[in-house]
Amino acid sequence: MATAHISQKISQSFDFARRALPAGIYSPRRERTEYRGDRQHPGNFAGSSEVAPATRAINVAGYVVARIAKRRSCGFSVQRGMEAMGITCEEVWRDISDYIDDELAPKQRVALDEHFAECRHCTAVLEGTCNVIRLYRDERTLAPPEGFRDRLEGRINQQLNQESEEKTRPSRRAVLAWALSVAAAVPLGFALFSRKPFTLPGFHHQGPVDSPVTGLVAVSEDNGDKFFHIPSCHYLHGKPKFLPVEEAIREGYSPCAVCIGKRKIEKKG
Amino acid sequence: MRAAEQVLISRILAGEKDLFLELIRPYQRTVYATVISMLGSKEDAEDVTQDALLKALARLHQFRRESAFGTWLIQIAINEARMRRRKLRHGIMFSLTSEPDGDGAYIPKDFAKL
Repeated sequence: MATAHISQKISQSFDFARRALPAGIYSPRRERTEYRGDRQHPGNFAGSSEVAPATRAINVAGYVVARIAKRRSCGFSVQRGMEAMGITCEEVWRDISDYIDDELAPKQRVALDEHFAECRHCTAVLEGTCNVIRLYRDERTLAPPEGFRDRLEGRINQQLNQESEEKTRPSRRAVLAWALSVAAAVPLGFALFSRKPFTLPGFHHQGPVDSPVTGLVAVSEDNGDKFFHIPSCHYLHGKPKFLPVEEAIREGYSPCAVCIGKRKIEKKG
Repeated sequence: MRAAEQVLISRILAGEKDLFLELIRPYQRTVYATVISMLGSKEDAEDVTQDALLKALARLHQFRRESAFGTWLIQIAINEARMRRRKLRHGIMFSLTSEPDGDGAYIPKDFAKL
């Protein structure tokens, strides 16, 4: 009440000084903008020394009104808010986002409502935040370029089509695995079902076969054991000597178990 | 809204992938706005938005439904935008022969902004 009275008195003196000034000297805009909060020099109206007392009156009035307005708007109400509601401006700023999203507990929301009713500064912050959100939600703000949706949907459709094609078409890995198994199965199948025994390249193992042994055979003596072989036998060591089969048998050579085995030995005569 | 989204997500995960466009339609502009506010370039923003939404499609099964779908989607977009920004930053080259600014004091360009 006392504050209102003082403010009224100062406003009256402010109006008086304003009426007393010649037209063109006083500018409310300048009065507001030129004040810089300096207590030693409450006003600075350069070039108007002939109306110095009046200008001082204007500026003192402006200064005090500004101080009172400042107290009313933020600092004063914060103190009152802390006492009356138990919530500070900092707490309000922390919860302002949840307040806008309506995600606060009812009690806390009421506390913020009361604070906003008292505190102009926080109300300004709230309105500013709401404006930012409104601008952000506005379709015209940061709007995608023309054709954006079509291009986006086209690319997603393309991706979806690729995925469905991959599902129906065997993957590259599956094709590779299939090819490898076929490659491994073919020689294995030949090896298993062929009538001819499988031999590795370069290794001509002469296994026992049914065809009779005829003609020349290679004879060798290994640690006193006398054997005769088919000339291509790998168990034939050293420089072989070739004899007809009958002669080799006559001279006491035995057939090699590996290359001749159970093959019949055809004797002439 | 969220319940409808959950149903859509379940159906997409069950194989109805065409519904993905319907799921992301409300978020397209928001994702784009987020990305362009990070990158500044319209072309990059469009590209990154597409990449982010495709990534969301590929990884929808990883969405744990602990947050809103929009939050998850925007987080993917933010990560994509960060990656793109990093890549763009690596692409910047500085001339070794150009004259230094001012009195010859070298100020790295990244710090000069601060």
